[in-house]
Order: sequence, then C-alpha cells, then structure tokens
Amino acid sequence: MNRFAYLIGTIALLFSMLSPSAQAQDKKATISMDLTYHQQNDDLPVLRVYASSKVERRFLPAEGVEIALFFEEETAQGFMGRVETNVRGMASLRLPAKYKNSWDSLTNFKFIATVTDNEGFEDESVEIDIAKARIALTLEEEDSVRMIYAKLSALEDSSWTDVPETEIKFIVRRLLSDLSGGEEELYTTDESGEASSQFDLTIPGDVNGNIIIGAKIDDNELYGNLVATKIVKWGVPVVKDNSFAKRSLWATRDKTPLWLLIFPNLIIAGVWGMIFYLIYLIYRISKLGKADKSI
Amino acid sequence: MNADSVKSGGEALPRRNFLKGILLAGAAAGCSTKDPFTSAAKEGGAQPSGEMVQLLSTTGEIIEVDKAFLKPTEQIPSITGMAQRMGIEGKKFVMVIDLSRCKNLKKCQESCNHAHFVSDAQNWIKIYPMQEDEHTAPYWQPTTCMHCDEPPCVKVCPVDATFKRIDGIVGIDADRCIGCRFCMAACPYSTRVFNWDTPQLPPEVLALQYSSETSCPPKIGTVSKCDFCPDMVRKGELPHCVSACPNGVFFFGDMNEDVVTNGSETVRFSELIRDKAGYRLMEDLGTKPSVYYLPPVDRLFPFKNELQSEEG
Amino acid sequence: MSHQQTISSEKITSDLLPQKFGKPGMIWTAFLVVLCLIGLFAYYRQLRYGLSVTGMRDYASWGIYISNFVFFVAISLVGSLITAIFRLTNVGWRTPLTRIAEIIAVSAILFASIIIIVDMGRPDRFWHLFLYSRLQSPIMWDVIVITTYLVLSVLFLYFPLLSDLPILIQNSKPGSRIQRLYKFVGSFWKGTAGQVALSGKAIQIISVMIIPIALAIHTVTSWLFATTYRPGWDSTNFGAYFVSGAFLVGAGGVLVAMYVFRRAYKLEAYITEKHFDNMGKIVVMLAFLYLYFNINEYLVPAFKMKKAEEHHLVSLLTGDFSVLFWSAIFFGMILPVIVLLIPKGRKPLPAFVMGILVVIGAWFKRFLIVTPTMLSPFLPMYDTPESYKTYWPTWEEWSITIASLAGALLIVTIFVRLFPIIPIHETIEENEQIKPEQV
Repeated sequence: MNRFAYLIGTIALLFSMLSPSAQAQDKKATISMDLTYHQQNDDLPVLRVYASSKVERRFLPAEGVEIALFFEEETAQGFMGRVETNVRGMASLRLPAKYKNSWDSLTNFKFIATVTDNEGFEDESVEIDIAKARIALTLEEEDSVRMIYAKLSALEDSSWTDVPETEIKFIVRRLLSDLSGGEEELYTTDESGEASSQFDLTIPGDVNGNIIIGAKIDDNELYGNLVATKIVKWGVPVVKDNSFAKRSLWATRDKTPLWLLIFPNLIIAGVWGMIFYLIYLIYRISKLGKADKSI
Repeated sequence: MNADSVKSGGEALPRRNFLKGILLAGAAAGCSTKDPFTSAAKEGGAQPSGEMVQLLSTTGEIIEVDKAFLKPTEQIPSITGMAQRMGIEGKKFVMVIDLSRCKNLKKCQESCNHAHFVSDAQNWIKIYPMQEDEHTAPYWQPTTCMHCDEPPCVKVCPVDATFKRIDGIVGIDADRCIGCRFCMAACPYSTRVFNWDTPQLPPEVLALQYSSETSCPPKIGTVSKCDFCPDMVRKGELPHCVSACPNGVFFFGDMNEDVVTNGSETVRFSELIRDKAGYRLMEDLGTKPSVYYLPPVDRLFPFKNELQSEEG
Repeated sequence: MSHQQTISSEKITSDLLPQKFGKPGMIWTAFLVVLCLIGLFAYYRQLRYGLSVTGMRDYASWGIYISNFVFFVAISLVGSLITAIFRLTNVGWRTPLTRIAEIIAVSAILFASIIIIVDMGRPDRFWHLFLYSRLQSPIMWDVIVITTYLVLSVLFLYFPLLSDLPILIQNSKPGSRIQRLYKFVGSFWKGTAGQVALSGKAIQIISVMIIPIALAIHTVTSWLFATTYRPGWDSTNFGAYFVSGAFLVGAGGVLVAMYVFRRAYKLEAYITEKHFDNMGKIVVMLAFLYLYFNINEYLVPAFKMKKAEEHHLVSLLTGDFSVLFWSAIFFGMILPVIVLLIPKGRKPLPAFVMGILVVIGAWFKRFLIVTPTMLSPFLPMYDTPESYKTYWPTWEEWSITIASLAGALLIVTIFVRLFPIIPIHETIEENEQIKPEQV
C-alpha cells in the first residue's frame, strides 16, 4: 500500500516536472530581424529584411516567415506590403510608387518591419530611421589618367548639404558582387563631401568594353546603403567565345562533327542498301516461283 | 528549385488567374455586358458547380462567375526549356575551392541538399578526406560537378539529355533522360547520382514543371547532379553552397568578368589562381573542369578526421 | 563424309524433319516458360518500383543486366563465325552446324536488345533513342549496328531455309497450321535454276557482309566501356579482347548445342564425332587467343600498377573478386584447353562438358569486366551508405537475367520444333555429289 502511494507520488512529481517543459515546447520562438535600406542612383529605394532565429544556440535563417513592411507609420496608410522570407531568410520590397512624393520631400523617414500572428514566432517589430542622402559620381579621363570623383550630400532643411567624414568605396560592378575599383579599399569624404581615386584596373568589360563603375556607402548608420553608378568604356572588350557554336563530340545532336556524320552514314547507307537489295532478291525469287506455277 | 521560389510560384498561380480574368473581362466589356467566362465555358460544355467567384473587371465592376467556368492557366516557367538548355549568353561560370579553409563543416552539403531535395545517401557535394600517402598531408576536398569544358558525360549521352550550355554549365533534362547511366560510367569524378526510387518530395515541388536550372523536381529513373544553381545566378545570388559556407571556401563567378566571390571577398579570378597556384582535378584526363582548387597550404584548421576513426 | 553415302534421301528427310516434342521436350519447354514467367513478374516489379529493386546503386550503376547484354552480344557472334567464315573458306563439314549457329545468333542478339531496354531507367522513353538520337554517343552506334546485325542474321537464316520448304510442305498435314506457316514463309520456292542462282548470290553477299558487321557489334559494345576513363576499361585492346572472347564463347555454345541436338534428335549420323573433333580444336585455338588477350589486358597494367588501376587489379587478382576471376580463367579457358588438346577429350561428351564450362566461364567473365571496374572509381567511395559500396544482384535481377537466357533458349527450342535444325536439302545434295565421285 505504502509502495503504491509512493509510486503515485513519483508519477505525480514527474508530471509536474514534465508539464512546464511541455509548455515550453509550445512556446513560440523569438525571431530577430535586420532591416536595411538600399538605394541606387535615382531609383526608388529597396527595403531588405533578413530574419533569423536561434536554434540550438545558433542563429539560423528563418525561412517562409511573413513580414509586413510599413513606411513612416504602422497603419493601413503606411502599409507597403507583405513579403515572405526565402530559404536564406531574406526578403525584399521596393518602395511602392504611391509613396514617391513623400519620400522625395522628406529629409528623414522611418521604415518598420513586423511579424504578427505568426504560428512559429512571437510578434516582433524593428524599425530604421534613414536620412535622405545622395552620391554624385563623376568619371573623367585626361591624358589617359582615369579618375573617379564622388560627392556625398544629404538633404537638410530642403537643401542639399555636403557630408564630410563618411566612409565611401569605389567599385566595379560584377555579376554577383562588387570588386574594389579604387586604389584603396576605403576612402573618407573631405569637408566638401568629396572623395576621389585614380582608376587603373585592367578588367574585362562587355563586348564593347563597357563596365559599370560606382561609388557606394555601405551600412551607414544615418543614410543606409547608397550607390551611384555609371557605365563607361574603361574595360577591356571581351572577345566573344564561339566555341559553343562549333561542332564537337560534346555538342548537341545538331552539332555532330562532320566526320561523324559523313562516314558512319555512308557505311549505314551502304549496308542498308545491300539489305534492301537482299529483300528485293526475295521478291524476285518469289516472282520466279509464281511464274513457275503458271507454266 | 529552392523552397522560396516554390512557394512564390505556388502563390503566383491564383494571382495570374485573377489577372487573366481581369484582362478577359475587360476585353469583353467592350462588346457585351455579359461575362465572357460563362458563355465561353457553356460552349465548351462545362457544367456549373454552383460555387461563385467574384472577379474584378478593368472598368471597376465586380462580376460573378461560376468556378467551373474558369480555366486555370498552366503554370508557365519563367524561362523556356530551350533557354535553359542554351544558358546565359556571354557568361562562363567558374568555381574556386580553397582547400586551405575547409574543415568539413558540411554546411555546403546541407544547404545544397535542402535546396535541391537531395537525399543524404546521394549528396551532390561530397567532402572527401584526402591523403594520397602516409607521408603526404591530409586535407578535406569538397567536390561538386566539375562542369567540364569537354565533358565526358555529355559526349556519351545518346539523347542530348545532358548537355553543355553556352555559359559552361553541364545541365540535365530529366524529361529527356532515358536512364541508361552511361554518363555515370563516363564521369571520372563520380559526381552523378541516379534516382533509383521515386524521389520523396513535398507535393508542391512535385507539381512543378521540371527545370534543368534547378534540377527539380527530380524524376525516377533519371540522373541528377550538381547544376551550379543558374536559377540563383539569374536572381543575382550565389549558389547555395557558396553562401552557406561560413569559412568562405567556395568562390564563384564569371570567368569573362575575371572575378569570383565567396560572398564576403571579391577577388580577380586570374590573380587568385596565379598567386595561390590553383589547379584542377585530374587534369591529365583532358576534361577541362570549370572548378579550380587552391592547394591546402597554410591551413586555417587542423585536419581532424572523426568519420574515418568510426569507420575503422 | 563417308557415312552419308550410305543414307538415302528419304532416310535423310525423315531423320531431319522437325519432330513433335516428346515428354522431355514438353518438360523442357514448360521449364523455360516458367523461368520466363518468373522473370516477367520480376520485371513487373521493376517497372512498378523502379530500378531500386535491383542491387545497383550510384557506384555500381551498371550490373548483371549489362554483363548479360555483353554475353548475349558475344554469343551471337557465333552465327557469323560458323556460317560465314566456313562458307567462304569452303569448310566441308560445316553443313550440319550452320543453322544451329545462325538460330543461336538470332535469338541471342534479339535478347541482347531486350535486356538493354530492361536496364533502362525509363523504358517508356525508349523512343527518345530515335527521336533525339545523337551520333556522338557510342550507345547510338550500338543501337544501329545491333539492329543491322539482327536483320542480316534473320536474312542469313532465311535464305538457306528456302530450299527446305518444299520438303516441309510436302511432309506436313495438308491444311494444318504448321503447313500454312511453311507456305507463308516460302511457298514460292520451287527450286528452279533461276531461284537457286539468286538465292546462292544472296547467301554469298550475306556471308561477306556479316563478318565485318559481326566484328562491329562486338567492337562497338566494347567501346561502351573503352570510351570511358575507368580503370580496367580504359584500354586500346578492348575491341580485339571482346571479339576474341566472343569467338570463344560462341564456339563453346555451338559445342553444347551440337551435343544436345545430337542426343535429342538422334542425329549421330549427321553430327558426327568428326564434328566434335574439329570444333574441339577450334575451341582450343580460340581459348588460346582469348588467353593471350587476357594476359595483355591484366598483366601489362599489373606490371605498372598505376595508382588508379591498383584498386581494380588488386580486387581481381587477390581481392574480393579473385576467386571468381581465377575460376573464370581456369575453368573457362585453361581446363578446356587441356582437355580438348587430348584426342579423347574431343569425344562428344567431354567436349560438351568443356563447352558448358566455356559458356559459364564466359558469363562470369563479363560480370568481372563490368562490376569490379564500377567499384573502383577514381575518387574513393565516400560519404555514401555502406550498401552503395558493394554490388550483389537481387532476386529480381537474377530472375530477369535467367529469364532472358531461358527466353533465348525458348526461341531456339520453338524454332527446332518448326524447322529442321540441319538443312535437309543441302545435306541430300551433298550426299548425292559425293556418290558419283566415290563410285
């Protein structure tokens, strides 16, 4: 009897220990978001959000999370749209055109990203404040010396003012990333907001030698990510590779090497010609047989 | 196909239907006040289901149409099969694998398997513990498809099911493949795997039209392998293995641009290969791979072979 | 042909006419049919569940289907060996063997093409081979050359058969189904001078044509392997190696068939001990030839022991496959040579046993050509389940393979039931030619 009560007591104790941990499993995970602002030339800016969550003490990209993005205020008015993160936890949205006027006129603006009513994650919200800025890019070539000039200015009280002491990079745009295009990795704007570098890379461009050169500021606390680019013929024209169009053993069936078409087909035609002749001989033998019957 | 485009593709379907509804209704509004779906569908002999759907016409009117009268548009892949076979013009993709940075974390393999629905038994990326001899150095060697310029696998394919693209990628058309497995015998890098079973896939992936740029959905009785993720490149993103590697082992880029990147570093391809003495695997076979290796010198991590001790 | 002059034409005809199956014949046929049905069931399972029912996996991606295919192609070479070469060189004792050889060739090459479809992951897309055919691929060459050889072999069987048809029609029940078949096949054959001349011309043409094409089927089949880089296949020797092996297994197959038909149909007067003696000598010569190529194929790489070849050679010579390898060499080549070199060893029974050893040895030799190489990749087998690192065929694979062999035998069996296995007309003619000379 005593033992039985002891057993029940143990089970009850176990249950009481288990239940909070079971509740803990039901509890939603926390999500962390990183919202960034990207703007190129005069285009409308793009908002990028990266979502991650802690799994087994490591931050992993959160895939398939719906995130609502707002401009200035978290209201129906400011609702820009809803995005879903991809396998890398990334999602992006371009500022909708209806906000263009207010974006043009404001000197400072705010973006908000929220996760609400998510099945797997607790509600979360992040916001960033951006001050409107722009980079003016100038490319000059004199006596075969190529120079890149950039001037960073910010909108203050409806006029553009120079921004000094800000880190800026000169880049050559490539398919999947930017290659450093300046003599140094990083430059700092002077008191008039300017920076410059000589461009002496020998780098392939397109067939005409065009490359895209840019000046950019990355992850700036005030201005976000800004880049100004220009297309210029400072690259080495790339010679078009015609090997794909050539006949080869690894080309498609319409590009079989000629010798492989001619000789086997000659042999096939010859052999099958003989086979058809043999079949014709059967026909002639049968003709002879029928003629024999009539005699 | 990675999961994110799967989902967006699945979402795009009703949206596209709706759009078509708008266009057709708009066109019909000019000549008749009746909705165009009901009349067209009745001619085709469709029976009303009784479930009504509301559509918006371009004139701002809301019309009600029976659900049975709406024809779903087929999901059209963003690029045609022909364009997938052709590849991206003017590009020549290369990969550089820095053996001095690899410590067998297998993040590349994980992300590749996740994105392409590869089973653990048939990894497209393998990380070999290499040690040619007792007295030579051990190191980890990840391998992908080498995307050879003179690919032995493509040479032997009897039906053009595996093909060389203009951008250097060797692709597979699983709708064409007859499953003769000659390519597997021909590949010296053992990079190809065969779908012996019906692949286990989520239903939304199974419903997709096959794309040789994502190698999804894989099909039973056909060959699969690493495809260099041209779908990601078209989106301006790096292949899954490259972005997944925390040590920056994989560099990817366009040889015509002479630049490769591992996500955080961007370097000149020719300088990297020259300065670090890059090489290719089994050069003597004349396959001309598009994957280069940087020798395992000055390694960042000591070689620890946990698996081999398990295997004995 | 000293025996034949004593035989009358009537006796020859009645001896050689196809006979109804006796009890052993019925049991034999039923046995083959059952094997085929089991194989069909196994293939149904393969169609339903995919190639996962086989023991093949990513490393051993080719298995006994492919080695069986190579075996079939090899044995089909016999048709051209006996028939064409002997015809052209006017070997007098060939007559009773030609049709045996030719029907083996036809059924073997037919099943070679069937087994290659069985091996395909997507047999439903077989038509892609014609719709998207790509001439760069050795598989395409094989498809072309096998089709050609099949058609030519059927013609080579057909033309000499014509002269037997009047005898067959005459000796079958009027209006019976079998007579209707004979009439359908060649009621037009009257044996007129014009017909004989045309048929003789056709046979002459085929005899010449079929030799290079028979060599081509085997050379091209060897190229399916030799055009890859794999250790054990990457050899310039491969075409000749395969052809010599095919000659051997073909001749061995004929020895076996001769003995079986001789016993089953009491043809001792036609397939004589002289035939066994001659075929025995030929098998010795061909076994030496094949041994020569084997020494080239294994000894030369083993002398160098290149890194890539090492795993493959060691697995054959002393490793996992060594028992099978040395057995195939000893029982498939050396023992037959020793026995058949002794005159008593060339008597029908020992020659028959040696023939069986040659054929079985040849089958396993093909297994040894395919599987050990597949399991010796350049990069080590790694990061893959244990079951992927070895290969042993499943019961489905065995059943399908055995069924294909049974099917080939079934075709031969049915053919023998319908048509004379030794050409009647030709035998009578030769018999008559000999008489005046001897008198």
